[in-house]
Order: sequence, then C-alpha cells, then structure tokens
Amino acid sequence: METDSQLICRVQRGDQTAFAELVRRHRHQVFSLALSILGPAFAPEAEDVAQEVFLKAYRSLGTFRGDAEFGSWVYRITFNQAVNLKSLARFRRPNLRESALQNVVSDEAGPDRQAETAQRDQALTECILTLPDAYQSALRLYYWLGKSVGEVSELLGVPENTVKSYLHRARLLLQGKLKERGY
Amino acid sequence: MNEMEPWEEDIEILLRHSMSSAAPDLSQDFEIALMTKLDLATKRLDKFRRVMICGYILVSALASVVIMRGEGLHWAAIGALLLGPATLLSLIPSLLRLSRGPVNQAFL
Repeated sequence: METDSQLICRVQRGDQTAFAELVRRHRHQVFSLALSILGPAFAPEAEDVAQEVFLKAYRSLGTFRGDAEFGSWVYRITFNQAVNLKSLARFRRPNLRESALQNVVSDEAGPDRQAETAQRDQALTECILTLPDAYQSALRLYYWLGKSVGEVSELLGVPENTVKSYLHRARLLLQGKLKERGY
Repeated sequence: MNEMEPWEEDIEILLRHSMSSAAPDLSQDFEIALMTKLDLATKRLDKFRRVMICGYILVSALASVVIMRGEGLHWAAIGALLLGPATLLSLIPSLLRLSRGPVNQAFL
C-alpha cells in the first residue's frame, strides 16, 4: 500500500485518483474532528467543513513540502475551519437541543426519574458548551465518538498526556459548573 | 484513565450516559460530491488561467505592433518578429520530448 507521501507526489503530478485515495483514508477522521468541535446538532455543517478542508488541501498540495504528516496537516486545517465556523453567530446556540438527539427512551423507571435525567443531561450539555473548544472536542471525541486517547491526540495534534489533562480539566470544570446548578 | 477520584468517576458516568447516542456518519455520496466540486474548481481555474494568458498575449502583441509600426517597420518584418518567437516557443515541447525520449526509455 502506498504511503501518504507517495500519494501526495502523485497528486502533485496531477493525478486526481491519488487525491481520492487520500480523501478515502482521512475523511472519517476529518468529519469526526469537525463534528467534535461543532457538536452533535451540526452533522451537515461538519460534512461541509470536511468538504471545504479537502478542497483547501488539494489547492495547497502543490506547495506542501512534507515537513509534517498529511494527516496532522489536514486535521489542523479542520480544527481551524470548524472553530472559525463555530464563531459565527448562528453556531453559538444549536438549532436543536443536543439532548434531543440523545437517548429519548431511558431504561430508568418512572417519568419523574426520566425527566430528572433528561434535565441533568441538558444541564451537562449546556455546561459542555461553555468549555474551551479543545476541551469540548476532546470530550466528544473520547466519550461520544469512542476515540482512544491516542486517536484524540493525533486528531488534536497534541501529546497523549495533554489529552489526558484536557479530559481531567474538562471533568473538573464540569463538576464545578454542575454543582453551581445544584446537581 | 486510571486512578480517578470518586467525583471524577461520577462525572465520567454522567458523560458516558449523556453522550451515548449514535454518532452520525458521512453521507454515502461524500466522495462523489467532493470530487465533482474539485473537478469544477480545477476546470474554472484552468479556464481562468487560459483567459489570462490569452489576454496577456493579445495585449502585448497589439502593443508591439503599434510600437513597431510607429518606428516605421514594414508589416512583413513585424509579422516575422511576432510569429518567429511564437513558432519557436510552440516547438519547444516537441523538441524536449524528442531529446528526452531515449533517456526515458533507458529507465524502462
């Protein structure tokens, strides 16, 4: 199997099928990263970000010198693109309550208990939205998208210990915020 | 994720519960849509480049003709001065291919 660098050389010689192969290799990771930054309510927007990222990468591949891995380079573009999009006004609040996308039916007994759980989940979701982008992304990649610490580290371009620290600090901040809300 | 304190374990459970929904996947036609966009963008760029080059050639040729006529040169001389280099330039790729041909074959 060809390495990313070999495929990049082919793309630089004008071979679009090599670029299609690069897209095939990295599309899910790019989409997951965009989704982890934008949040569960923005899957179509995350897909748009993934498309934009690959178009941008294709245009810049002519000047790509290969100092960094293609993956890390593309993930960095994704992170910046998604954060920029998120800073737009309409992304400050999701158009759908994120909890609405989560388990509607709970196996816990009683409607009161279910309502309580739903309220607590909603509060947690709102607290997550107040965290720094890197923490939100790390949390969603790890807990929601099921990535390992190593994979999160690769996607965010930081060492594994930094990911662990992000997760720890995010949990600490969430505990404080939930306590403030009486949970 | 070892050695968690009790409060951290509670938050961990909350997070796992709150984020237990299925993650969305990329749409089936993601790659097709992307490659179509890429094709369009490439074609648009190629067309733009071609228009720019043709425009530049036309403007510089016109300016050259005006200047050369101003200097009193005959139309035949102007034609030779413009078409000569253009013919030479168009021959360069063929000449290069001819000179590289045997070298490339040696590597086959």
